Amino acid sequence: MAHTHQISLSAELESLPLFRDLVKTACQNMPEINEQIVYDIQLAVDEVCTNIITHGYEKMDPGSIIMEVEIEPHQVIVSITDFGHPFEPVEPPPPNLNNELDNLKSGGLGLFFVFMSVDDIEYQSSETGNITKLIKKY
Amino acid sequence: MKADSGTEKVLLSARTSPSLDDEFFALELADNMLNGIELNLILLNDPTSPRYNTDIDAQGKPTMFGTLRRNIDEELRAKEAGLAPGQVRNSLTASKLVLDQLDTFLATIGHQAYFLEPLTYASAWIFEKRGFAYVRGHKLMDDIQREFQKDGLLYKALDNSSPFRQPEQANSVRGRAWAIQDGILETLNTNWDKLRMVKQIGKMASVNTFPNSIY
Repeated sequence: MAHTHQISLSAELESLPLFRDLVKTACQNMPEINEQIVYDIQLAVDEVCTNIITHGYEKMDPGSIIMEVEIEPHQVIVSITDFGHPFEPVEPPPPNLNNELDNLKSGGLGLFFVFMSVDDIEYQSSETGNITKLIKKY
Repeated sequence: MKADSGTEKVLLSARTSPSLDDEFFALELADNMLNGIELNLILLNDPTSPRYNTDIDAQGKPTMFGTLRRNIDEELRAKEAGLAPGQVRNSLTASKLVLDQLDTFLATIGHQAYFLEPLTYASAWIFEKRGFAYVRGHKLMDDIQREFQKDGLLYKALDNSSPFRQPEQANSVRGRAWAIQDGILETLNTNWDKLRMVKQIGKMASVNTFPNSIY
């Protein structure tokens, strides 16, 4: 049976710790979900929400981000809904870490980490808002 | 029901008697440019309760629910009677029933969400309770909550300078709403005109920008 936790907060950077906390709370009492899995999901949530805040709601009076964490047998599904400008997370090419630090292009690393941290990402934008779904198997 | 040809609006309204001007129920829906639905108006007034003419000024001109101009004397009477800004009578307290029906109706014609612009702080708070989230203005609601705390800028602006700015108003939804109606958001260099809310049909967003609130 799936367990669902939900929180709706303002699209501000100050909300990020509360989104991370919800992931931890939702995964509590689930011995199969280890700390690394929780950390991976938190990392992805952090990056996706940061993108929504800084790009999706850019030049808008910030609205809501609704985050739902659903614990299913063998996978955690995090659905993040916003009502800003659509901002689809597209998997970037892996960064060339052989480059000197000064030569690395800014941006893109965050999304790279999102795709590294979870097993699947789904995105849809419609009149109901923009929904980013992060799926992590355990 | 009024749905003039060539417009994208439909108004449903009901009166207790055809001879009365006041509706006790009114609901206006419109198509928006993105093929979504706008809830332009929802009125649920108890027709047996006293009327306060906050909707017209002393010269009889419409105040547009107090947004265009104000009838201070009537607003004061309404405030003392426990009404919120924008109300002319006590509420029928039927918003849950009506909005649940609206959810069902819009779902049957294939919509997944609808939108509105809350007229007042009190109406935004009610729509939060009914499952709406913010397209714009969630941060403003958080700012309002923070600044009405003791030592906050809005709390300090409840300085007895008008009957709409009494310190105890920080503690209730209606009290805050009257202070905002009175222009207290100027303290934050903003005003009440940027908010937009969305209801995802069949879902509750569970936004709560005023925890442990009293109405």
